[in-house]
Amino acid sequence: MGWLRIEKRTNPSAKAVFGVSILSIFLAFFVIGFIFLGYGINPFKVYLELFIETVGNIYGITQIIWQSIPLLLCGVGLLLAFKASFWNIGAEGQLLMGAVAATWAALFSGLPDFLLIPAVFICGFIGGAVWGLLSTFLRARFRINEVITTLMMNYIAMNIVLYLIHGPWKGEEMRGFAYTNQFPKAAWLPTIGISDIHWPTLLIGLAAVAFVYLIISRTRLGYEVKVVGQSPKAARYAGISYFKTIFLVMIISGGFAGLAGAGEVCGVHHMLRHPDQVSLGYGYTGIIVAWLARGNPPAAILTSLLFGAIYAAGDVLQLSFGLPFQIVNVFTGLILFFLISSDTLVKYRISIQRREG
Amino acid sequence: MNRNVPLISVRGVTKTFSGGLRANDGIDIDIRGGEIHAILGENGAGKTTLMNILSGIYHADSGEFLLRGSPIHIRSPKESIGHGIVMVHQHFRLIPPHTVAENIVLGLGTSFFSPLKGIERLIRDFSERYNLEVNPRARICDLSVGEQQRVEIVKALIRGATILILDEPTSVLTPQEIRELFDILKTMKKEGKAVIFITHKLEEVLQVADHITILRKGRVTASIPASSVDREKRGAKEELAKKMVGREVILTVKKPPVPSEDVVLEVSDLRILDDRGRQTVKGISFDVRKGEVFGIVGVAGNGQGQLVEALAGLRPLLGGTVNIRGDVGYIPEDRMGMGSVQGLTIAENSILTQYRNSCFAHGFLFDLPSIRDYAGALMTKFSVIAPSMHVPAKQLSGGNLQRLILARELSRNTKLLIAEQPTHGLDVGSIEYVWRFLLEQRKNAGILLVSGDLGEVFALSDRIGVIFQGKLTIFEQPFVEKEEEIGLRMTGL
Amino acid sequence: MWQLWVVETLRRALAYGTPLLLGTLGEIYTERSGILNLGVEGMMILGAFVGFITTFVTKNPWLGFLFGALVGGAASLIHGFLSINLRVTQVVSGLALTLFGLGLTGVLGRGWEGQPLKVSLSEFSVPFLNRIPILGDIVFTEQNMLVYIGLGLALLLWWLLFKTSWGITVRSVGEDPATADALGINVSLVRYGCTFIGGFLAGLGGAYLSIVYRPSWTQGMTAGMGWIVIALTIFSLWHPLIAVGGAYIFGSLFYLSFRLQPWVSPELLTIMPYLFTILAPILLNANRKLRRRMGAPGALGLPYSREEE
Repeated sequence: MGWLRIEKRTNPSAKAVFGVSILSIFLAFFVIGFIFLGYGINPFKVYLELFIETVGNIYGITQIIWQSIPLLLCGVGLLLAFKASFWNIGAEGQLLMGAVAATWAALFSGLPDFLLIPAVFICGFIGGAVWGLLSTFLRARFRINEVITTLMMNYIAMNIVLYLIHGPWKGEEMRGFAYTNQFPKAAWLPTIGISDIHWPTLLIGLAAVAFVYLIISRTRLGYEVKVVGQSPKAARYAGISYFKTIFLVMIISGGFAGLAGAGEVCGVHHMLRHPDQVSLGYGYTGIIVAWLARGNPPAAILTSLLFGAIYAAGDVLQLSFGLPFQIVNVFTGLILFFLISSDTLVKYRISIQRREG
Repeated sequence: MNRNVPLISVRGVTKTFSGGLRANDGIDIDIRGGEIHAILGENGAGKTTLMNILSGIYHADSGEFLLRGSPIHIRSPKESIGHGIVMVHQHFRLIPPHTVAENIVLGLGTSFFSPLKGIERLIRDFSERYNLEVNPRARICDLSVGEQQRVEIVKALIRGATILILDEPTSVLTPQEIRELFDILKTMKKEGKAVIFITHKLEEVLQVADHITILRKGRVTASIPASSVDREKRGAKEELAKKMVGREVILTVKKPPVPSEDVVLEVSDLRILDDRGRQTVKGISFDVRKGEVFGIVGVAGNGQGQLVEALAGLRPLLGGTVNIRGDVGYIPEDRMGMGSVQGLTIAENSILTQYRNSCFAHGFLFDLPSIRDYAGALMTKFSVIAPSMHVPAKQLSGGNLQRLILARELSRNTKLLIAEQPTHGLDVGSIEYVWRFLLEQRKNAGILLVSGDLGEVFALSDRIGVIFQGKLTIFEQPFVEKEEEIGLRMTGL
Repeated sequence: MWQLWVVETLRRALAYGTPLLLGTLGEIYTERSGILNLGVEGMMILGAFVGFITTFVTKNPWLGFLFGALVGGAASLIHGFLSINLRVTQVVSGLALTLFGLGLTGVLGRGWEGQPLKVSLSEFSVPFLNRIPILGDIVFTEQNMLVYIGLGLALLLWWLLFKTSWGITVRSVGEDPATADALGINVSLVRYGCTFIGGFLAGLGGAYLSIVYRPSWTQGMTAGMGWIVIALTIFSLWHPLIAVGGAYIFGSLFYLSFRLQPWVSPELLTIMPYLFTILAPILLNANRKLRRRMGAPGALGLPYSREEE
């Protein structure tokens, strides 16, 4: 590079990393303001409204927490996968298959009522885990890159859900939309007060954070994950089986996404419906939740709340300003752009240099 | 040609890297045409940095260059090549899946259409002129190391190099190939070209150089014509070495023998396939006893890599038997990529090969204090210098990293210890250290040393096995008269 | 009777496979220079959207193609800047681009959904060539112009990559940028150029989707096609001519998933291309000779910097 001199900084401080992350978020908001302008809306009015509706009142806060639940579960599972350098882009599909498995448990398993809630979570975990393991198997046996397989499995999962709700699992149809029958009340997750927060899933999410934290910092599996993720050669040297490690990681990662799916269908919708409504892109946003947490499980709580807030804001934008919900993806994409750009600012020292002579 | 004006002069070149390392400190050198000018120095002396500056890859912080007396700028590799300065790097800058012609034509600015036709003829012309056999259609990955080096030289000559820089060119060559290389260099000398020869090997310098410059810690400590070094005088080499490292360097090692009859490793008719399905180990048999160092020497690529992997349990056997009386400690050649995980802390690296050991565990979880104690003990005993055990391993220098790995594997007290190129790329101080600890470990283990450095193998081994194309020839002590034969065996003669 | 059916399927496969072919040719160039761009989905949808609007407004599909391609190219430059100058993790940068593209077009395109495009490309046959038995019926009968452009581009890009000095430069930059740099080649420029080609062709492929394939605009209409492009780039062993075969195989799958709908549930049919993307490498893997050649450009996805600290 000619005029741009980039030197590696030896030790980026945690404060710098944090500060730069906050900066990225503000920059994203700034750029989005232009889109609002384009729609003829005063961006400051939007920000104010957003602030009031989300952080500014109790209901708004409960909305944030509620939206963050599936993000937390997906995110913390993905965090573990990324630590092993296994690029699991398939959390979306794993979530959906967890939802499918939970639906089966709720509607078709014939279990007695008091077992239903544990059953939906167990089935949800299994559904997501199995779906994730398929990609792992393809990687292990045929060395097919996991970015592609997990991605393709997302689309396959979406279509499986569509097939089920239009076909064998079709319930009564109302207003032209297809979905399954409503789940029996015993399979409905309880919520806190009048909010939408289905607290069993939230608790599971927090437990998941503690679980992953423990694994990474104090167990042999966590050690193996770290070695495998950073140096496959050293892993071989140390006698660590790459595939055994990845299998375990994906059971956890896929399983957590599956739990999120179970939470959605049992705690929010109480039925299986169109995949775009079951998951508002939680699997993809989960990737950024995990990335932003920089490998630190407790940080995932914060980052999932952040994106929960963005999702809640998306709702407000939709209801109050008529903007499509996709604006959330614009936010997410922009934050990610600024984040990785500013990563460079933190990891390197950039200066403009005049060439000598 | 005007012998009074140097072909290229370096004046006051200084280069400091971020982190404060002053790699070059006010360097003044004159390089003359028609001469082989050796730049001597140990690892870290600043030789490669200086050459990278000359070839436009790095920028000097201050200083100037004169080409035939007139000042020039070297701001990029392109500019450097434009001035006739071409560097052949220690690790060849060749693209393995491409052919020789494709490699040579890269960036040459020849025709856009069918660029390869014209270049093939040119390549053959140059090969004849300099007696460098090179097949333009061959793929680089199919060539031997010596052949690849010749491609690099043709590549340089075709670009009109008048100043050819060779960075440690002999480190991967057999003695025969080294002789051929020196002949080629002498031909270039006759044509009036300047050859800059970077090395840390004193013997070669005395064989081939016309002028010697010694660098130490970024400064020029001597610059003398080779003729002024009296080779007959005892201690001539030691004196040069002193100028390189600044203190008495003992080039031989005192080695009290440790007798034992315990066989720790028994290998019989071993056959191994490499990743491509080719048989690279073709029936090797040898044994290693406790208390001895068995040194396997050979040019890289003759099967040692696969042999070591198989013995360390990382590669399956095709046939034959391996009997190991106990655990194997393994110090791999690739210390940053395999022997350690750069992103993990020193403490975490200290248990890399033993993390499953129950003494580090508390039930399902790690017993962190016991790991910390262990790491601390290792660092103290083996003088691993670092700000703390909790910094990532990538902050360790090469010597310190090797000491950590050494510490880790030696402390396991395995019956068999495999050391693969253990002093590769280390400074003299670290080399002495590693040798000392390896020899000391003979009390507990049998040591299999695998190295391409004949000097190292001679210094440390009790018995030597020369590996060539998958077969082993064993030599017993004394080695002194057998030096020539061993060198020839390395090339298969 | 079934022969006619096969020929017809193959003929339609060309039209259905063209967006994949265009995207793949572009990504092949990008990856050959060492840059991994996972933002193809985002670039395609941007091209689809801009192409649609341009054609709708100007009533000229060629302007639509041009602007769609340019927007794709512009978007790719963002990824290029992040990957080449700032040296970020290319996987994440590409993903950000995809999310951003999908989101932005979803937001901006809301008012345009469901509006049919009245102008599109017409199909025509090439005289003489369409009389060639079988091959003529498939390739040169009733195809739109962009199919021919696609084929022509494949040939052109193959020739450039393997028969010219520029191609050697590109391939060397992707295998070993340090070596190319030491020989005076401007690695950044080559990578920017190839990234732009990738974005341009992806945008063109996307515009084809909204102008020819399904003359309309729906949010997310690429439906993962960008991801299939990325898979296809690998299956074609980064070779433009193999990409032709691969793209048309997928094209026939897409066509079949339409045709078989009366008999098989539509959702299951939709799965076919995605399933095939997963199965194809399994089949390829089984062939030993192919397996050995399945090497990516040596420096793919790795940021390059000259000064190593």
